[in-house]
Amino acid sequence: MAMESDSENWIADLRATGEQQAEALAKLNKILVGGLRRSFQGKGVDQAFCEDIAQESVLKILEKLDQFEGRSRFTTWAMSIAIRRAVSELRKKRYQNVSLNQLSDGEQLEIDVPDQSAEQPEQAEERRNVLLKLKELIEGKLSHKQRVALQGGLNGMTVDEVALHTGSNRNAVYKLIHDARQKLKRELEKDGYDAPTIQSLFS
Amino acid sequence: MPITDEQIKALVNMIASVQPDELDCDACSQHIAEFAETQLLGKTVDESQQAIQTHLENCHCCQAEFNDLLAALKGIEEE
Ligand SMILES: [Zn+2]
Repeated sequence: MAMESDSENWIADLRATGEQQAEALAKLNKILVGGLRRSFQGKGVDQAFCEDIAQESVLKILEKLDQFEGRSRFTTWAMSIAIRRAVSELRKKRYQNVSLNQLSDGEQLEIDVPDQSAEQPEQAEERRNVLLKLKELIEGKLSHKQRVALQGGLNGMTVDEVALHTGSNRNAVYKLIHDARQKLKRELEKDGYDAPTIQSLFS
Repeated sequence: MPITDEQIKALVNMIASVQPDELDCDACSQHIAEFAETQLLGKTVDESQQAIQTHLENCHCCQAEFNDLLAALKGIEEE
């Protein structure tokens, strides 16, 4: 992909040495601090935090220069790296002293299937069948980690929160949940319960 | 403790809506810069960016990070 000339200049300047590079580094640092302030002001973040993050991000960006493919402007790409760093630092701070009671270690997804009553409308019976199947699949086909992650999601926890609680990371938790959803979907389909059917049963 | 009826509904929706080729958070973050530009320039989301949009709709954490990025980028031109 053709890179915008402005982006090309940034790359050239940052790859240069001496004053040319120093100037580019200072300019980039200033842009990042400005962006971080705009984004996080009023969210319990001070100037020092923005400056620290900007400084660390500039180093990271230098390391990753080769990975810039020109799909966005250089400064946009650089800002996305700084924001990611800031978000992850803030998240660590926020949860450092908070105990997450929403997800106890032993807690896993558990489904209660109502007793069968003599006279039930057809839909209630079908719902019960799906719940029975779901219960069986969750217990038999999902891993412990998948059950914990899904439970966290259903308790309203974000993937970051589940990750912090389980000593994992955002992407790993997202994948655990995604794979669990896919597994459950496939297994339900085998029994004739496709997506529209289960959605209409529980809407 | 068994999950509530509301949670069952949510679980069913999570199952029904899953796509095999969903972007994960790492892949989303690699494309977040170009998606932010699309948004800021008011361009329409093309097919190749549809997966990013879908991930953002489904992932609270990436959506929050995306909003932070948009806020940071507004005004970048004046610097
Ligand atoms: Zn995500």
